[in-house]
Amino acid sequence: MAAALLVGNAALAADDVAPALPSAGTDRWTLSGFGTLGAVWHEEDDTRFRRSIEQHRGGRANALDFGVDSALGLQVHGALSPQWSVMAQAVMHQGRHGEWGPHLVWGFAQYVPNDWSEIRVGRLVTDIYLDGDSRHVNYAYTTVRPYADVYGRLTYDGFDGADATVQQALGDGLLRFKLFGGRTRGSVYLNGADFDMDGARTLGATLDWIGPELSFKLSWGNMISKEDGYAGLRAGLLGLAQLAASPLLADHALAAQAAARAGELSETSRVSYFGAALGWERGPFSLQVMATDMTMTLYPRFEGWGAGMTVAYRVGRWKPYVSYSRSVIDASEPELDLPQRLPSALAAFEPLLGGLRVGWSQTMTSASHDQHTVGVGVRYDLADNMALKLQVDRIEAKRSSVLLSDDGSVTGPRALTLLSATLDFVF
Amino acid sequence: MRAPFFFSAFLALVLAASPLAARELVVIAHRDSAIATLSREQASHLFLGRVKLLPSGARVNVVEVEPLRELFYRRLVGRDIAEINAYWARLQFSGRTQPPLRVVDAAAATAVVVRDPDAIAFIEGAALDARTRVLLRLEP
Repeated sequence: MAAALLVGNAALAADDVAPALPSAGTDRWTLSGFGTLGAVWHEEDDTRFRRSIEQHRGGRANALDFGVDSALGLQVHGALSPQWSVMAQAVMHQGRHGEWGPHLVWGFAQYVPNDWSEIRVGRLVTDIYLDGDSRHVNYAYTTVRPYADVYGRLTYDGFDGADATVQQALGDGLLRFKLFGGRTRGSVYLNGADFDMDGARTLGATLDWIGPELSFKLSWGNMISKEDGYAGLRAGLLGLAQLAASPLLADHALAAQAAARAGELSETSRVSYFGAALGWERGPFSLQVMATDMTMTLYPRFEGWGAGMTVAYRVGRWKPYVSYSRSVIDASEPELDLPQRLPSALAAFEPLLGGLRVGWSQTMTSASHDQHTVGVGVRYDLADNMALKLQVDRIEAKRSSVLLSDDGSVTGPRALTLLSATLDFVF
Repeated sequence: MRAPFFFSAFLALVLAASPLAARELVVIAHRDSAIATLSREQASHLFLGRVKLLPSGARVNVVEVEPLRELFYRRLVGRDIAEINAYWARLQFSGRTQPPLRVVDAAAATAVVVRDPDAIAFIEGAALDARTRVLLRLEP
């Protein structure tokens, strides 16, 4: 799978003999990579399908789109000694401005002093995926992509910091606990606006147990940002409070409400999640189930959950599967009771009221999401390092922050049948 | 499920009928290795990259033989080689661990094991060498 470039002692000279194994004082550098060439198609007008909310564009109706799932990753790994190694991985994929990167996904130094602990420092990824710590390596997944309804919303999964893992044999498997934290990396593209998460703090932990047939994972994470995205809305609410309290309007209830909402708009936002996943493989049969609970404590407070399941059965090189995923997230704050019209004496302030109404509506709905997907597909392993996948998804959404309208905004009700084809490979 | 079951049974028959399928596979180490024996569970953890040390503290360097990989993993963990490859992609590209060294045949594997007292590899039982020790037998 990897092209091994050995530096130092190559003790064996024949064509088919083994290269030297790494030992103290001998570096072993490996260059490897992965990629996907993918295409999607659907016929739902005014709808763009995105794999994740960090993508600027999505696949639009009646057009074959090669940008949603296509990606290329290159990785360099250096085994400096039995205890020390370094790794860097860059991935090219469609980003929030339509650019293709490359983006540095991993870049760390790893220290493994013994078999029950390890520490990594550098650019890392939060450990929330059952199929590995990455949403970019499609070859590792049975399906074309990780559940877009669920994982497509968690794009701020990179951070610059450290993680520490300890493991212990338990029964016929291994129990592992990981603690991680650092400075958040990632971005979100919603309603035509970029939200850069750089500078926020990430903290989390995972606990998993891996046995011969069964694997189980619990994950918890927090991202805390001091990015103030509500300065304009706060100023508008304070202006409305002053206006409402003036003798011209004398609506003291509205003044109090607007002032209270302005005070509640926090300058600190927190995204918290808690997830559980289970995998079971026996012979040709495999089952994966996951669920996550999410809370966003920026104002308004959003709460929601996501879940997914994939059932597959391998028959030689073929692996047919079915999948289901669902995610719901909604604002849990009451609406702002804005007046429909102002008195004629205050007509000049109607644009302020109109702007507030639009801004408030966008704030309340910006992250709202209620979408589910039923998928059927097949994976065919063409070779030891290459797989072809064909998948049909029926996506239904009451509202979606993953799908986009043609104007780039969060969508209302949508129902589409998405056809996907990918060629995944590793080298 | 009748059609997939029939196909799996047919595939098992085809594999069983092949000359390779009838051979015993063995996991070997240097004859003077600190590793005396391996359980199937220990071998699973080692060859799937979950551990690199035995409970005794002995370090283990794992070596795969390319033509025998499919049969080995089917016998060791009951998994298709495509699943094993996807599994290693998961580990490799998330920085957890790197895939084992892979060689072209039993002779190359034996050469590695003879040179490195920490190395283990799987070969056909018929290719056993006096300079090595059998740690685990995986019979048809």
